[in-house]
Amino acid sequence: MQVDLIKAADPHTTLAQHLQVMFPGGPGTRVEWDTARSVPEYVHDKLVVYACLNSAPVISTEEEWVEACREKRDADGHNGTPAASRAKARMTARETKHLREADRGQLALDKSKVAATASSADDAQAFLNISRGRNWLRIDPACMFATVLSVAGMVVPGGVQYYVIFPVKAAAHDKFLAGLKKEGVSIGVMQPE
Amino acid sequence: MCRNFGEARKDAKLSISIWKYNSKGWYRLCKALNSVRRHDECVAACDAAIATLYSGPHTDAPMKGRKEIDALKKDSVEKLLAVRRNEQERLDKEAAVEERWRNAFRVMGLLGTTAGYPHGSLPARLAMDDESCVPRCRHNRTGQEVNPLAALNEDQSGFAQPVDLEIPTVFLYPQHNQVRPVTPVNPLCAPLYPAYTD
Repeated sequence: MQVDLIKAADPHTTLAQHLQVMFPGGPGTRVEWDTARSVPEYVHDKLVVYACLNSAPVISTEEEWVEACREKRDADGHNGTPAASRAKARMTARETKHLREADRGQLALDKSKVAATASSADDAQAFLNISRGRNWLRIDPACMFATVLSVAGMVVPGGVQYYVIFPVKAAAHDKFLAGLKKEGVSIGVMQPE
Repeated sequence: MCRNFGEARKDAKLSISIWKYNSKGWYRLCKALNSVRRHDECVAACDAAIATLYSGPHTDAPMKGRKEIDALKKDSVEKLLAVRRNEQERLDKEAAVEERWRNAFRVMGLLGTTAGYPHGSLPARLAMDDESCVPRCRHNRTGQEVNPLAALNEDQSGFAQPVDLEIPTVFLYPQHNQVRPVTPVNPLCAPLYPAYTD
């Protein structure tokens, strides 16, 4: 999978601002890996952006977060192979449990945050349904990162936010949507405030 | 002396226990401890040797060996200091990394977002001790990484907007799964990246 990492994104910038820089669409600006077609597919105004809700188990305290960071570092081999194996096993068990609960809509969410987000949604009940499980949001690129990050159910795994990006007319995009539909996953739409 | 310093240490101890003014025994004990990097024990043994052989009632013991024992003690003290210095550096580095993690959690709190456990394996491999791979807060005058809560307290005493928040962001392009294969993700994470399972 092609990946871009923006190491220090300002949360008060919009997705569109970054996409415009990365995929301006002018002559000679085609990214090197965008070779599937004769014309560039990845142009900032022809892209759709998705983010997954509840993509990881929630961390509620600073101490828990520090322990999680240590565990991830162990899993990456910082303290040798045996420690890495143990850490990976713990992480895998936790992820398995989380995915099971998310798929059953059994996640315990921050009620005040859910209520605040739902109150600003066009359809509060629909949002509540989406925020309880491992569903997706299609995000208008005019949204700021900070706005996306504050949505109930939006979890930042390991302190890194992830967005999945497709050209709107790409077959891969259709396949992605078909896959979600097949799994019974809901997709909400997020627009700028 | 043989090169098996573990055995040499045992033999030297035995010979000292039989006759404690055995200067060769003391020297061998100190040498063995120094060689197996038990520097704190070596320093203690050197002190004991000097006290026994050269300061006690048997000060008529031959001074031969005193210079060697002093040299061993000096060497062990230097190595001990180096070990402690390295350990302190490691602890300081670890404390700095932990402080960065704590600040990252505080940044997420300020943004009103929910922190989650890192995925077991990620499409983009991010190291938790890499300073640029966790949320950060910088003082916008000095550019220094700071504790956001402390900086915002400072805000109340005069600065208009003292901090800049930063959060690492990954854009994934699953369409190009086949074009550029990367390290396989944890299969359990695959549902999060559906096109990845193609």
